[in-house]
Amino acid sequence: MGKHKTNLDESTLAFATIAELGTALRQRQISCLELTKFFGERLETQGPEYNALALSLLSDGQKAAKDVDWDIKHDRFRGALHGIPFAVKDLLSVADYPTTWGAKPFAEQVFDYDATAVQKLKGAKAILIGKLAMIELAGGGGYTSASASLQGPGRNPWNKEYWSGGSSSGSGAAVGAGLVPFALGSETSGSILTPASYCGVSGLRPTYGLVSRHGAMALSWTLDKIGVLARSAEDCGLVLHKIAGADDEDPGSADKSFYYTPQYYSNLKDLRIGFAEIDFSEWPQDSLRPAFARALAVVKSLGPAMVETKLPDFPYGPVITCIIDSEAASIFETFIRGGRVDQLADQGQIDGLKASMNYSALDYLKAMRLRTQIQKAFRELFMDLDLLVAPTKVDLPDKADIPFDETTPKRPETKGVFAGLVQAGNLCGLPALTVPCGFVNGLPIGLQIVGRPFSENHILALAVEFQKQTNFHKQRPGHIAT
Amino acid sequence: MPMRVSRRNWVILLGATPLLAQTPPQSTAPLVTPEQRMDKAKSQVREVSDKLTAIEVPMNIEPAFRFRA
Repeated sequence: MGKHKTNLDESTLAFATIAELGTALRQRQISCLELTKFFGERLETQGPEYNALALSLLSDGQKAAKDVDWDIKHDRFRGALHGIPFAVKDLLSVADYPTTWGAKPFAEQVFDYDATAVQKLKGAKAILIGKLAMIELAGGGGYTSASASLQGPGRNPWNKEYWSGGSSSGSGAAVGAGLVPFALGSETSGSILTPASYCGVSGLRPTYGLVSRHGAMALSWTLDKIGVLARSAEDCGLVLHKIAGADDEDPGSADKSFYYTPQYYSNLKDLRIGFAEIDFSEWPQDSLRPAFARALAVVKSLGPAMVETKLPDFPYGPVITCIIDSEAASIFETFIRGGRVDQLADQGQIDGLKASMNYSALDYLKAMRLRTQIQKAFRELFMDLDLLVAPTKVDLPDKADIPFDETTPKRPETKGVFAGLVQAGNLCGLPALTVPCGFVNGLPIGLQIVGRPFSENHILALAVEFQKQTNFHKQRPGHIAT
Repeated sequence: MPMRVSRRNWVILLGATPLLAQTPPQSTAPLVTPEQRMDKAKSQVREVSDKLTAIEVPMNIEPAFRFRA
C-alpha cells in the first residue's frame, strides 16, 4: 500500500465488496479520505489504460471524503454506501463538469445540475470520483467498432486486446479492473448486461421506471434504464436500494421504491425458473459450452423448480431497432439535420442516425403495437414462472482494435430462452442481472437472470445464492484461481 | 447471343490471371462511396420496415404509449 495507512493490502482493497469496504471504514482500518485517494489514483493512472476514464473528480471526492471522516469520527453512520467511492457513465450529468455522452460534438457540454441518480448517491454520502467512458451517444444509430467513443476503444481488464463491451464500456472496465467499487451505467438494449458480462462483474438492469432517468442522455424515452455494475449481486442490491424511487422530473418514473430485503427471499425452492437446455448446450460457441453447463448445474443444485421453456415467438430485433432508431432520430433531429452528426467517430453510426430519419409513423406505431403484444405474452409467460435464466452472451468479446465481425455465426434453428431475451426484456421493461459464471481463454462469461417487473429481490436472491456456491465474482484480472 | 468459351480458351484466360494479379492497383479510392454507405444504411431501415409491415396486428391492439413495465 505504501502511502496509504490501512492494514488492508492493495489487491484486497481494490476488489473488496461494498460491505467489506464499509466494515473497513467503520472499524477505522482505513479513513474515507485514504479510500477515496486509493481508488481515485487507481482510476486516474489505470483508467486510461482501458480507455475507461472520461473525467477524474478526485479533487471533489476528497472534499466529500473529509465530511464522511468527520461523520465516522463522531460515530455517525449513514448506511451501506456511506464513504464508498463510485463513478458514473458519462451519460449522466454532474453539475458544472463536462457531460460528453462519449461524443466529440458534445465534448464541451456542461449541465448545471446533477442527474437524480447521482444526487441520490451523493445524498447517501457515497463519494463520486469520476466519470466513465462510453460508446458515443450510447450507440444510437448502430456502431461498427469499439472505437466509437471519445476515449477510444474500451479495453477489457482481463485482456486488453479485447473489447470491454458497450455502451457502458468504462463502467464495465473500471469495476472489472478494481478501479472503483461500483459504477452506474445505462441500458437501452444490452448496454449494462454486455459490458458487465465481458468484464466479469455483476450488472443490474432495473425495471423500467424504477430509477430516474432525469439528467441522463435520452436515446429512447421508452427503453432507457439507469443501472449498476458492481463487484457482486449483493452490491448491486445495495446500490439499487439507494438510487431507486419516484421522481417527478422523469415522465417514465414508476413511482415506486426498492428496498433490498434479501432475508425475505431466501427460500429458492419456492421459485419456478424457466430455461432451455439448448441455450447452454448448443447456442454458445463450442468453447463456452462446458462452463455454461456447469453454471446451469449450479442453478439447478440450488433447488428451484426448473421448467424447460422458450420465449414467445416475436420479431424482437426489428421491433426494438425501429423503436430505438425512431425515438433517437426524433431526439437527435436537430443534431442530425444540422450536420454535427458528421463529427461522430463511427461512420456506421453517422450513416445509421441519418438513415433513421426515414422511419415512418406507421413503422413506429406498428413496432409499439407489437410491443403491447409482446408485453402481454410475457405477462402470460410469467404467470407460470418466477425467473428466466440464460447465458448473457454466447460469444466471447470482439477484439478492441478491429471492426466488429459482422458475419453471422451458425446457430441452431430451434430457439429457447436466450435468442431475443435481451431485446424482449428491454421491450417489456423487465429487470435483469448478469453474474460471472466462468472463464474461457482467460475471459469471463456471464449468466443472466430475468424476472417480472419489480422482482429485483427475487433475481438478487438467486444471484446471491449462486455467488455463495461459486467464486467467479471473486476472481480478479491476472489471478484467476481454479 | 451468349459467347461460348472453349476449354482451350478457358486455359488461356486462366493462365493470364497471374499477370493480371501483378498489375498494380489502379486507384487508392475507397471501395465504398459515401452514397453506397448511405444506401446500405437506408436499405437496413427498409428491411426493418418491411419486416414490420409483413406482420398483422389486430385492430384492437393499441401502441404501448405511456409505457409502463
